[in-house]
Amino acid sequence: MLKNKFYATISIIGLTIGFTVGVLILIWIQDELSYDNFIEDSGQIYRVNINGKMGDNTFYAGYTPPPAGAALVDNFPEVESYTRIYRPNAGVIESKTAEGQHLFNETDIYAVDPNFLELLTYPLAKGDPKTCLQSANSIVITPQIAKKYFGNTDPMGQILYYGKDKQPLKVTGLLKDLTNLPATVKFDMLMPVQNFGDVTYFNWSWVWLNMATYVKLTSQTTEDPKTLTNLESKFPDMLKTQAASAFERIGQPYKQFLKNGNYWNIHLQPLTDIHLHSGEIVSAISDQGDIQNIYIFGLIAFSIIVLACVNFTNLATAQASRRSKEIGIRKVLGSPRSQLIKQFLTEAFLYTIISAVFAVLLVALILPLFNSLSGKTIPFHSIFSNGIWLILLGLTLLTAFLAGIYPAFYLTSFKPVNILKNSITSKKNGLLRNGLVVFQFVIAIVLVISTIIVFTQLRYTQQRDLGYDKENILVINNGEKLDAGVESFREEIAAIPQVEDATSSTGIFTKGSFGDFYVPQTTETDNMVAKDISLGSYLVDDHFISTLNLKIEQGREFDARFNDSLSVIINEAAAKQIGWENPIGQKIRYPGGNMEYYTVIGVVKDFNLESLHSSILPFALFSKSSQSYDTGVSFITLKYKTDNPKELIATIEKEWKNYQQDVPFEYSFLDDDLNAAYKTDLQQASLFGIFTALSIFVACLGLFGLVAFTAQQRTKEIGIRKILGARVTEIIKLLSMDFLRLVILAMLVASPIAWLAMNQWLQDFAYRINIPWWAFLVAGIAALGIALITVSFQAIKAAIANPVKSLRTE
Amino acid sequence: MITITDLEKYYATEEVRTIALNKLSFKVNEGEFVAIMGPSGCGKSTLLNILGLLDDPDGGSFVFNGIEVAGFNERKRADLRKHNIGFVFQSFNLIDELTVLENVELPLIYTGVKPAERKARVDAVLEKMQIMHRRKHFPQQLSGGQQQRVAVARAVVNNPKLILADEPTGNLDSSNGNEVMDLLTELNEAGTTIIMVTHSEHDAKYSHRIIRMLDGQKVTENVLSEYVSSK
Repeated sequence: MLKNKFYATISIIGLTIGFTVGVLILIWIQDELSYDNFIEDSGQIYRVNINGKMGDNTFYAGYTPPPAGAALVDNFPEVESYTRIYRPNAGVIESKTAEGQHLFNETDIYAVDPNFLELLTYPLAKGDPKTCLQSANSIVITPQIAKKYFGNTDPMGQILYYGKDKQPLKVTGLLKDLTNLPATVKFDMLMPVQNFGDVTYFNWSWVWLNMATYVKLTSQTTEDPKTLTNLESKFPDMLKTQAASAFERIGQPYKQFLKNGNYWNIHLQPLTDIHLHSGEIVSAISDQGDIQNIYIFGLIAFSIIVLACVNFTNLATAQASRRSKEIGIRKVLGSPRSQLIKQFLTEAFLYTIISAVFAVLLVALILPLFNSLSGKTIPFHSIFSNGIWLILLGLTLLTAFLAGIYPAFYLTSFKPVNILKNSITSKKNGLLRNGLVVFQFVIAIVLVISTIIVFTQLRYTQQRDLGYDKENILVINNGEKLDAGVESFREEIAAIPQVEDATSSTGIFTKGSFGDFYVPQTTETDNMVAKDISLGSYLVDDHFISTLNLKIEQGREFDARFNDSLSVIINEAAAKQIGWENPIGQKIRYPGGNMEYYTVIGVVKDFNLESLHSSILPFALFSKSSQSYDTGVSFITLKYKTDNPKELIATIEKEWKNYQQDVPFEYSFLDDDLNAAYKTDLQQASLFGIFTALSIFVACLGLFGLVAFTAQQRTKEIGIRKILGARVTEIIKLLSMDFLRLVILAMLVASPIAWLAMNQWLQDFAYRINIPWWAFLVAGIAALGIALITVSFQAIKAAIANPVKSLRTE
Repeated sequence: MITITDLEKYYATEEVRTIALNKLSFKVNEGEFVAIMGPSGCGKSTLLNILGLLDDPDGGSFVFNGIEVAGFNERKRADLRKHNIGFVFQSFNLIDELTVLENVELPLIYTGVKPAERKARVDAVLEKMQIMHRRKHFPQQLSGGQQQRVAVARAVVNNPKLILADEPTGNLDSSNGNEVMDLLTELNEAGTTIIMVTHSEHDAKYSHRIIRMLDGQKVTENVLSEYVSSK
């Protein structure tokens, strides 16, 4: 081993990287797969999802109407119990301690049914899950919240004040730290749902989809898939009786609704499937990943491990003829074949075990970085739990076995006479070695092409014209907390010299919108009921369009000179879906409200509300004066022109304090909010990029070792050629061309694979790039360049060596 | 053709500096066949490497064809070498992965000869060496004598002015060895200068002059047959 220090180093570095990446991805996958497993009886718990079609719109959501849970328990003995969770708008929480008043705006308060912690057994450090949420004036908090409001004092029994009315809530439960808990639903505080008027108000509604409902089935039901299917098949009939009055109330008799080709179906989804198998099912309550990422990263991990293993085998085999003499002599001296095989396997095991130990140390070292890149909080000890260390051990042994067995059998099968006569050239296993080099570079090049395309797509999505200005836009939250003062506050802000314009609205891009169904009609008397249309909307003031620089394509914007309370501005997508060629003057009826009619006064160019993952949907802007609905939130958005936004923000904050002292001033920049929507994408792309770099590094290590080996093997030939007049450049060319040819072959194999894979990946984006041809060119040049550098380092060394010396080694 | 004066070469290891050539001087005329003899380690091979422009002397002068070449860099030496000098080695030094034909063709490739001319010249020299019928074989498929004939063919294919032979019969039996010596004599008679390092008194007798070396110095010089320059 010491004799081959160079090969030992390369082998061990390669394997260490392979194992490290393997372990990191394994613990990542392990973490992804373990979501919600901590919940007791998680196998019996299901989320109630709804799959609906109304007019042209279909959806599948992890939301349930408020009465669904109770109806399921009442109608079906298979359903043991239910619990619901609702995410209200942000609210202000306050504490008064000896040190003074603490006041923060909290976004992660969740409203739950009193039995929530009994069914979904989030771990409590203090308090009783059965009783802690029974009283309306109770609150359960995390240790972080306890620290924030009460410092180091025991929070149990302390009082927190909630909302505008400063409703006192007693801390009745302290959760354990949820940071490292793989849970699809995470929260800072839990409050009983009866405190939230909007939920109680909609208790009748089978179409208000803002809550998630979880049910626990009896163990007999979940044991037998037939019982489960049977149970689900009874849901439609239940809906016919239960939901009828609710549909009647919104002007859509349920029978008629179904007859028109619509549907409204309830499905059960296993709790442990929510994180990875939600697919199209939308939810803002649960953290839903994508099983596809597991496959992609699993594949990458597997590839890198295989690369490292291939390298190891490759290097070991490459030394075959170097060591064949040693083996020949050993065989002549009477060493049995089994002993030689044992010797080879022992060496391989030694290498892999050293590498595995290094890998574990390396994982410990880079886990924090990996966590921040992947957005996880995986602790180091998780490597020793959940059988990951067993997998690593298995992997180590398997690698050692595979990487040791081939050279072992290959080398020991030589006839000693031939070896000593030097009639075995390494050419015989050249095909295998070359095949392995090609294989490595195929993987590396596929990853490089993919990385380029992933980043190109991400840049495209971030730079694409969204249909409005996103630069120099400041969004102020909590406008609703100003009550009637919001307009005068807006006017004060707009009057600041650095502010170009300011608007107040019930929604702003990236922060959700109100959605409901509307009925387009040509005239109020037109009874040819058109198909319903689902419209997202904001209620906005007269300054919205000018502040955000939305483009009016037809008609006009809201204007103080008109009474716009029954006016609406729709986007092009809405006009197109309804089928209006000339929308101005047309009307839409709002059955969800008071059946009032809105007249279209303008058409605005399409704009994207969220990330470009989602396509442009039909959207409408109603005037604030319409008071069409109440979402309970309001934003003030302003466009500024200053190089010193900090100063501006300070000015605005001062103004805010004049209006509202009890609510902290909160703001964000619109471009930051938009970028946040790509955070996951960026995280994944960065991980992808890192793994790509590693795979290239591993592939190059292999190439480096092989070239060194080849150069060494061809020392004599190089010497002869030099004596015969070959120049250094000619020798380098001679040594490099063989390998570069392999890399070119790898490019040819890799390109179609990468194309297919990336084409598939891009399908997830509503707005996607065409796969750029230059990605293949760049990847090819990069692979060739890196290979050339790797190869030429050794080639130059071999080429400038004194030919006299190389012949003397004969 | 070759004049060396006070030629010096050292090999230094960490502790000792070994003198391989110690102020060696002699002259070789064009068309001469010179044998260099001496015990192992006397500096014969070092001398041959310097004469073959494979190595640079540490001191003294080396005039080749009227040009001072001591101090030439690698590239200049290589250019001069590939046009003027052919090598024949004891261990043949053929490239195993190339056929007889490809081995012989190599020097022509490195001197930039066009493919058509290369083929003609290789064919001619293989014919002359009587190994035309083995041109598609690999070196390991040939006997030692045949391999050395290929090596000689490779050495002369470029029509060098000088052939340097390092124990050319060392790995051959006597009949094959004689054949190779006859070949060298023929080449010499055709005008090529030959300098041959050998342990064999028998082989040395083929030459015009024997230079005997010891410890990097010339000790004696026997003239076997008077060589008369054709010029």
